[in-house]
Amino acid sequence: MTLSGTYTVNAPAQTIWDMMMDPEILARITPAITKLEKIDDENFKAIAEVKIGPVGGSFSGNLKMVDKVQPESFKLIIQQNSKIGNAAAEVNMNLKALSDTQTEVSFTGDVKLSGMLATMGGRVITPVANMLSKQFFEALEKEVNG
Amino acid sequence: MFCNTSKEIGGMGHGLKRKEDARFIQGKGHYVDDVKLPGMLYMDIVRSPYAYAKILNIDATKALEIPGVLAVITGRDLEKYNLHWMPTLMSDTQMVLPTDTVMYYAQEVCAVIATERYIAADGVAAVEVEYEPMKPVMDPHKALDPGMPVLRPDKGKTDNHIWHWEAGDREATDNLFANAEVVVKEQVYIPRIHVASIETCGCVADFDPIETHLTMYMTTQAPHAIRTVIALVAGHVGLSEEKIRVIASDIGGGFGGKVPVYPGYVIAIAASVLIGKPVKWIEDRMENLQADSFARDYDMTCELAATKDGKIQGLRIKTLADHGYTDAAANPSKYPAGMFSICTGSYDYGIAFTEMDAVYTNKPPGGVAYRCSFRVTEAVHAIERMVDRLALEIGKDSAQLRMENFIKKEQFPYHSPLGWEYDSGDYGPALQKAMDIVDYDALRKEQAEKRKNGQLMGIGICSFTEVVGAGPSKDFDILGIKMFDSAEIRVHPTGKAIARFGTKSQGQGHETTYAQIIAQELGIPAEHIHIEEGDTDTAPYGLGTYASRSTPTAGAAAAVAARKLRDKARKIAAYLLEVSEEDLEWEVGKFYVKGAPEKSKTIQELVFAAYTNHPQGMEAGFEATHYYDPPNLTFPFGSYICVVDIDPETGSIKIRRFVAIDDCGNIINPMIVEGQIHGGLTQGLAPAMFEELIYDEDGNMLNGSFMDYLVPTAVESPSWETGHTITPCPHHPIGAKGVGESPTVGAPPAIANAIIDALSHLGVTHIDIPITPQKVWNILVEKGVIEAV
Repeated sequence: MTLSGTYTVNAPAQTIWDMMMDPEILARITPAITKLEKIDDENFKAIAEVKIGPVGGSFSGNLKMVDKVQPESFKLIIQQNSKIGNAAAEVNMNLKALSDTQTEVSFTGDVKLSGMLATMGGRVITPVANMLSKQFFEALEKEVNG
Repeated sequence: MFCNTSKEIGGMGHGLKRKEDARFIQGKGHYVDDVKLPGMLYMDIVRSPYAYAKILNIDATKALEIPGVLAVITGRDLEKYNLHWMPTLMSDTQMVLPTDTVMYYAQEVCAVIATERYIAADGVAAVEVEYEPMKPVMDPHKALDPGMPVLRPDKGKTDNHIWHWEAGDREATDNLFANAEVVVKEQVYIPRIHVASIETCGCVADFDPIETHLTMYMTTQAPHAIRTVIALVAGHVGLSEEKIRVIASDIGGGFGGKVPVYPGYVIAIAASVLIGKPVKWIEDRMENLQADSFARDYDMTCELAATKDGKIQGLRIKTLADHGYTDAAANPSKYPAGMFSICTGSYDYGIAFTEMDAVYTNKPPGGVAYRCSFRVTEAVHAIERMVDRLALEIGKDSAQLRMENFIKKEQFPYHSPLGWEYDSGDYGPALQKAMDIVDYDALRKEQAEKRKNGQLMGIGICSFTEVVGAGPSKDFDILGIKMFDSAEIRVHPTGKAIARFGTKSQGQGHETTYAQIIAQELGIPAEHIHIEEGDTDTAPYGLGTYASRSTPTAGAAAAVAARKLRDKARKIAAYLLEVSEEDLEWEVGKFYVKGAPEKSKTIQELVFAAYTNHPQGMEAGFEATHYYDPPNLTFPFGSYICVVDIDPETGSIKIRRFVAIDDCGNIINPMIVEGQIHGGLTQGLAPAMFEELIYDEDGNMLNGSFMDYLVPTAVESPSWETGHTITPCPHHPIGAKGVGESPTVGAPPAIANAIIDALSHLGVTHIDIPITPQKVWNILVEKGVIEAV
């Protein structure tokens, strides 16, 4: 399944970049992720809680941040495992400065589900992804506006 | 309809209310999950989240720390007793629990035994399994490609090919097709579906370590065969057949899915033997849908050859069968493709050839005969689609084309080009009757008018011939056991009877229909004949109920056993009336002296005499048993007509009418026959429009619950209109043929043909089932009828 979203945030690109590089803030704004623990500059340990349709559970796995071009783009490689199945995602995040005070934040990505998540969640995955994407931008906006 | 007994006796032809319904409609049925034994433990199963993976480690530590979890059983544990593999009914092998590799999504990995059902589930959640996932083989078309993983090296395989099967004359068929005036060809896929019976599979295994005796309460269509299989699989660990008792009480739907032995049964037995307590295992809905044997999944390349004016000359079909990781079909041994060779259908032509290759993939094993006598559904879909395809090609009405090509009444017994001897048939009147009911000519006129206005309506016909009632012992066996079946009748001194059978009803109404057969033959009222099945300690041996075989085999056994008793009654009557046996006439319920009808003895008097005043030298009592070996299969047939209206904007399909004319020979109980047909039509509607098991390329099952796998209910079903013609079976003692599966077989092509007919003027020649509104909408967009928004 592919993921994508675009949103304009009233903040300079560098401010948003800095926020996204802070694991605590990134964990706060990324829906489902409850904890990000930095291992090194690229690798984080991630704990997530997800509910898709009738199935839900806690996940643990890795989040990798690569191809960083400050303050324009980076790529997230996420692998999350749980009793109800696994999720693997690759997301390209882009920050495009529209002006000194406005940035267009967009992402595109691909998610693969396995196990019970795929069986039970496949039917509702698109609305869930849309909802998560909306939550992400709302949280980002809230974070920017303090 | 044949009916010569009074309503009080209730023999053949009476629409008696079903005896079993008194308990069913009051919620008093006794199913396997109702079995509760003292000290009973519960089992739940850890299942694989991967379609193909190595098992690196199973860590049960946390599960075993949960109070109430008693054991976690793995493949390594079973391996110690050589119980980690078992044979399938098709002489393939299947894992009970894996030791190294899982082969499909939701496969059993290990089992948790606990004191309560919920604790067992908690235990399952606490077991930690480490896997190394591998790229699965999911597409059967690529299963034989070089470089694909070989799934069954344990069988000495070097690729994923299971078997090749063929029937007919390849050379003659190829010659015919090379020179035929008209050849039509379609790729026809019959999707992988599931029987989805409302009661899932389950058992209570109760091993008594003192008596070394196993009682197995289970939901099985073939209790006697299961007992023998358990003895064969577990004989080496001390389970001897005289100490195994299988009890199948009420069953909430079987449809072929409860013929196989599933790993859960064997694990439950092993757990009960190891722990010495009864162990209950009941699948949940998702386990049932995801892991139990599938049905269908044939991809058929179909070709029909004909003359320009529509004389069918020959058929050629090449099929690819996806069996999952093991061939766990429940076909008779000699027939790996079941009775697929019935695919020549109801039409008279001399040349045909069909071949099939079966392959392994990383999907659940199968395929079971889902309410069809071993692959007859696939065969009928192929021929009935192709006849419509031919009609379209040559511009002839599809009903007329069928009428012109039907095997004629006087040609029976008819030898089909692929080797069957059709027992009896009269196909034209059945189709004509259906056409008269729907007013076929008026419908065709209406369709022509509607097309002018851009409205979409279609008329679909299916004129099927089934092959059921396996079967004659010279050709039919399962694991070597011949496919006879049995009846034992015991009439008590007061003239009331108990009869036991080797079959097992799962809703078919045997408690009523078997009683009616005996009532017909002996004149004892059906209400006073108690029918019992499913307990291997009491019932005579038989191979069970599936493939519409109960009436053709056990029903025949009941009639023959009853006739043995009638012969005995005649001797007693001659003795009591002091005449010779030849001087007696039988009239249902009594013998009377020829020419002196006032001198008579009722069956009740004769039975009483068998216990109180039997002739010297005659064996006392009034009992008979018969094991019936049918001389041939039976060939029920019918003609169905479906009328659909399609919304050209949305692609939604409405079945306006569905008329089913069935001919199952002599009818035992017309109400039960009608009920069977309603149920079967609904289960035929299911794959035609709704059901398909879907996997992604990684082997995840994408619709493994009833939220996503749409089983039709009354809401989705049209109002079925039924009727019948009667062409008795010439070789069956009561002329009956079996009916439970005809509608499942006949409905899908009738519906598909109707929908395709509605779109044929747009250039549509075929659509694979299930035909969903989305498929139709896509076609309407592709053909430019509507624009995608």
